[in-house]
Amino acid sequence: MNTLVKSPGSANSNVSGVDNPDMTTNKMNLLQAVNSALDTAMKANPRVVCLGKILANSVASSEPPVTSKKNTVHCAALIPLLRNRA
Amino acid sequence: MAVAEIQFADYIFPAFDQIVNEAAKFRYRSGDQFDCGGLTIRAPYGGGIDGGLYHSQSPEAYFCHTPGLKVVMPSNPYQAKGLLLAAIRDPDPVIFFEPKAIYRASTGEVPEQDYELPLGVAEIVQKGTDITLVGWGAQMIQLNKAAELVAKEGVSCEVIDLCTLLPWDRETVADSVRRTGRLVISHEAPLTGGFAGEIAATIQEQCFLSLEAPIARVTGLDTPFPLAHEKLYLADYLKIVEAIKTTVGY
Repeated sequence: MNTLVKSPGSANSNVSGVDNPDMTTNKMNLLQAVNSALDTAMKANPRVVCLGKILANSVASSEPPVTSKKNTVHCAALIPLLRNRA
Repeated sequence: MAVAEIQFADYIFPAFDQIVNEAAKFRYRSGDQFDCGGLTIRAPYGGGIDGGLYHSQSPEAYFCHTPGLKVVMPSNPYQAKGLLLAAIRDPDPVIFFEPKAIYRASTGEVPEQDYELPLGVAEIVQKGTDITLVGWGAQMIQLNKAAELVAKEGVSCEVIDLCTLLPWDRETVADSVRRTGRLVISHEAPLTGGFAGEIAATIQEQCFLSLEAPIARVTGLDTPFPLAHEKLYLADYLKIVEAIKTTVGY
């Protein structure tokens, strides 16, 4: 993991992913970047669990759906779990 | 480490008690023996999609009133990945508001690798000398457009993206206002009780003798988010341009 400080091109940028030769970059939209963060977090730590409706699936067409990952739980999938607990 | 998505932010309020009274106080209440294990709550927020009153609100100020929480609002893909990774790994609960209006419209180069952006640190998007503009999330598009327009008339704007509202980067904003002497803050949420009021109060305390004009707030209206008049309600770049001209000409 690297700690970067500012967005590429910002006025107070002193380290950026684009300028850092150790980093390879891809053009992403904001939603794809959110998905990329979730993927990265889950790969780095199996204790990271994502829950929710995951809007990302329907709009970030070039990315594999986040819910296909092992440690994600769609909200609908939680309902039987909660019923069992009750 | 749970990353929960609540869609949209307008529907976060049934969980308000659990977030504000339980999650936010867990560390304090246990004498720092326990934390929430890295709870991050993602919620798409904001207008610009003709979503009407239940799919357009910006509820950040409710959560900024709660010590124990962190409130993060990215404005571009690079910030979204870096700040979300930092939020997930933060031991305290973080509310991560995502500007849904620019989910696809905002694009940029993003590292494939693992990286974090520090929470609580603002970004100076553009250096300037005449006036400081402060905003966050999707509102940064309006602020940047306004800065571009007034630049043609010779007004130099310093544009600051707060990125994190709780805790917010007071030093960066205060340093800027001490140099420019003027401040305009803009957000989509209604004026009364909005987070711009907190920033204005802090900056007048810290920079009173540097201010050349009253601090201006350009915000949503004090009404429910409208069904049919979204463009009138939102604080667009034209309203910000007017506020800049009034403040600079004071």
